Amino acid sequence: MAAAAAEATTDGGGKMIILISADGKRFEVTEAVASQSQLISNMIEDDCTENGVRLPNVDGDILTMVVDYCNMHAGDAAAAGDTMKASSTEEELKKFDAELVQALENPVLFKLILAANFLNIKSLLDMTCQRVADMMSGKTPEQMRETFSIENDFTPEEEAAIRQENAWAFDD
Amino acid sequence: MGKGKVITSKQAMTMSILVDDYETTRVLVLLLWEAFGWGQRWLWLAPRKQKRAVASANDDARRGEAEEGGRGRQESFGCKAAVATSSPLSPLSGAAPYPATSPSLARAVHARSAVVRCTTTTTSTTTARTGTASHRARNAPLHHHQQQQQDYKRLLVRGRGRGSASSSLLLISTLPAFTLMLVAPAATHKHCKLVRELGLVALLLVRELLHHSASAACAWSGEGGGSSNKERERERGVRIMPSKAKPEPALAAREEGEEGTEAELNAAALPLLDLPELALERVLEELEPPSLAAMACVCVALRDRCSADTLWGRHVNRKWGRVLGAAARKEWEAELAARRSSGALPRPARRRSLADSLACAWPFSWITCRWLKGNAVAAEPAAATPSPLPSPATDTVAAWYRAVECGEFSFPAQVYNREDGHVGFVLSCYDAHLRYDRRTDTFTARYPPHGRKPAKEESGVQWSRVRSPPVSTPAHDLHASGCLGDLRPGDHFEIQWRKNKDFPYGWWYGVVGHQETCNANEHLCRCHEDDMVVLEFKHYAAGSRWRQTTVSRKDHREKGDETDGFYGGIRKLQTSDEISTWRKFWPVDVLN
Repeated sequence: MAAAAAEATTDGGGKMIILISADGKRFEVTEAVASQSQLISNMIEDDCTENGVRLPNVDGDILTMVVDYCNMHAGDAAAAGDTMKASSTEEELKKFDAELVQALENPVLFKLILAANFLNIKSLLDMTCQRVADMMSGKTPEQMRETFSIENDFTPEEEAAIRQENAWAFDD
Repeated sequence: MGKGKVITSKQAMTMSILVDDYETTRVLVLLLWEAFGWGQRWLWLAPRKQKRAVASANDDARRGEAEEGGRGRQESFGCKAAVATSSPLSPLSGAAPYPATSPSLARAVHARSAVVRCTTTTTSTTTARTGTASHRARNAPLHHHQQQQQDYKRLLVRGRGRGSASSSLLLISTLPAFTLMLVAPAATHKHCKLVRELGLVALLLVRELLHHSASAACAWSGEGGGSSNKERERERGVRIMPSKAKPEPALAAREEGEEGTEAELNAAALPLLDLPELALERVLEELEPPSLAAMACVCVALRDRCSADTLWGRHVNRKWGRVLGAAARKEWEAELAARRSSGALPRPARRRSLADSLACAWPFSWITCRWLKGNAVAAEPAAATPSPLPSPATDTVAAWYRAVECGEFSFPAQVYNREDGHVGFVLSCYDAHLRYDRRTDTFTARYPPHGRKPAKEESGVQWSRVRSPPVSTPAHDLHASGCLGDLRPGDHFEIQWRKNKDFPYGWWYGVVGHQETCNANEHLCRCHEDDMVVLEFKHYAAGSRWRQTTVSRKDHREKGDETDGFYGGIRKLQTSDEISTWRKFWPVDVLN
C-alpha cells in the first residue's frame, strides 16, 4: 500500500514520495519538492524511498510547515524559465517566507531549525538562522539570556572582564 | 589498581637502597625517588580536587563518601602502625640501615608494602571516592540530575581507563624489577650489584615511558578528541550541554524535558545552545558585530565561540577592509608587542588542562607535554584561540576590531582632499593616522608635520575620503615607478609630489597627455615612444604652473625645485574603481 502509493505519479508525470513524520502523519510530495532536502535527494539517488521516508526526528506539525515551504519553493524553481512568472513568484515567495518565519513562536522556530538541519534544506536553514540572529540584534546580554534560556555561568571576575571588553556594543 | 603497582616499584627502589653501598647509584636512585613521589602526589591530588567538586554536589554521594572515609580512617590507623614499625627504613632518611639477613629483608619488604597499601588509602581517598561516586552513579535513584550522572560516569570511565590501560603495562614492567630485587641479596660481588642497580634504573625508565605512552594514548584517543576546550568546560561542570553532545534533535527534545526545572522556567525561550552545531554557527555568522560582542557576555560557552577569529575576521574585512591595510596591521602588531613587553597587558598564561598539568609534573614530561600540546593544537582551529581570563586577550581579531571600532587604535591610512575644501590639496591623497569615532561614524585624521609646520588634525572625515595605502612606500620615501615604460596618453596615474624636501609626499591624480607636437590623432600618435611623458593635471586652468609637467621615461627620479615642488614616483591606476574614486573629487571650479 505504501509502496503502491509511493509509485503513484502526478499528472505531470513526476514520481511521488511519501514522507512519514514522527507521529505517523503521511505527506505525499513530488520528487522535485522533496529533493530540496539534501537528505531525501540522496535517498532518491540511492533508490530507497519506495516504502516512504520515515522521519523520526520531525513532528507532523513541523513537517507540514517544511512541506509547505518546499512546495512554494519548488514552484519557484519550476517557473524559473518564465521570467515574468518567476519575478512575480519571487515577490510572493519573499512574502511567504517572511510570514512563515515571523509568525513562529520560539519553540516552533527551534524545531523548524532542527528539522531544516536534519533534512538538510539549506535555504530553510539559512532563513530560520537569520531569524534567530535578528532576534538577537540590539539586545543586552541579560535579555539574550532570557530569550534563549541560557544560564550565566561566569564567575563575577570573568563576567566583569568580558563585559568590560565588549561594553562598547551595548553600553551606550 | 594501577596505582598499587606504581608503589611496588617504589618498594623496588627502597630495597635497592637497603642492600646497596654504592654512593653514586644511591644518589641517583634517591633523586629519581623524589621526582617520582612528587609526580605521584600530582597524580592523586589533582583529580581529587576536581572530583570532590563534582561529588560534593550530591548528598547521596557525600554520605557514601563518609562511610568510605570511615573505612579509610580505620585503615589509616593500621597504616600509622605500619609506618611506625618500618620507619627506620624510610628512604628519605638518607642513612639507610643495612639489614643483615635476607629473612629480615623479606619482612622489610612486607612491612613496606603494608605502608604502601595504607598510604594509598590515607594520602588520598581518590580511589575510594571514585569507586563510591561511580557506584552511586550507577545505582543513583531516578530523580538524580542527569547531568551529574553523566559527570560521574565520565569520571568512572576516565578513572578506569587510566587504571586498566596502565596497570597491565606496569605489571609487565614491574615484575622483572621485583624478581631482580629478590634475587639480588645472593649477589655479593660489587659488579653484580652495579649491574643490578643499573638494571633497576633501566626498568624504572621503561616503566615510566610505558606509563606515559599509555596515558598519552588515552588522552589522544578517548574523551571526544580530548580537546582542551571541552576539558575546560567539563571542569567547570557546565550545566548547559554543548549541542554536540546531542546528535539527534529528537533526543535533544527529550533530554530537555528531563532536565526539567530550567527549561520550565522559560518555556517560551529558544534553547540556543541546543541547536545543532551547523545551525548555531550559521546564527553566529549572521550576527552584527554589536550583537556578537553582547553574545560573548552571555555565558562561558558563548564567550569562547563568539570570540572566534573566523567570525571577527569577516567583520573586520566587511567594515574596515577598505581602510585598513598591511601598514595598519603592522602597527597594530607592533603596539601589541610593545604593550606585552612593557607589561601593561601581560599575556595571560595559557590555562592548563588537567592532563597538561599532570603530564608536566611527571619526569620525562616533555614526551606527553609535546604530544598533548600537539593534540590540542590539532583540535583547535589554528586561528581560534579562546580568550583566557582574566585579562582580555589582545592578540585576537576581536580585539583588533574593538580597538579600531572604539577609536583606541589610530591606524595609518590615506585621506583624499585633506583639510576638506582646502584648495591647495584638491585631488591629492595624503598619509595620516586615523581614529574612528563611533558616534559620528567618521574619522579624525592626524597629518604628520610638514617640515616645521606642526601636525594638523581634521575631524569629521567621511568614509569616502579614506583609503588604505595602495603601496607600501612610506610618505617620506621616493616610490619606485615601475610603469613609466607603459604610460600612454589617456592613462590615469597618481604621482608623488611635495612642496619641499622636508615635507612628506602626497599622491596627486593626473592623466597622461600628448606631446605638444602631437595632434592627438589615435593612429598617428607616437607619444608612447617619446623619451618624455607628459603629465597633465587638468583641474588646473590652462597656463597654471600646476597644470602640466614632464618626466623622463628612462631615468626619472625626484624632479623639481623649491618653486614648483618636487615630483616623485608614479603609479599607473589599474582599476576603474580607483579612477572613479579619484574622479569623484573633481572640483566644480577650475583651479589656478
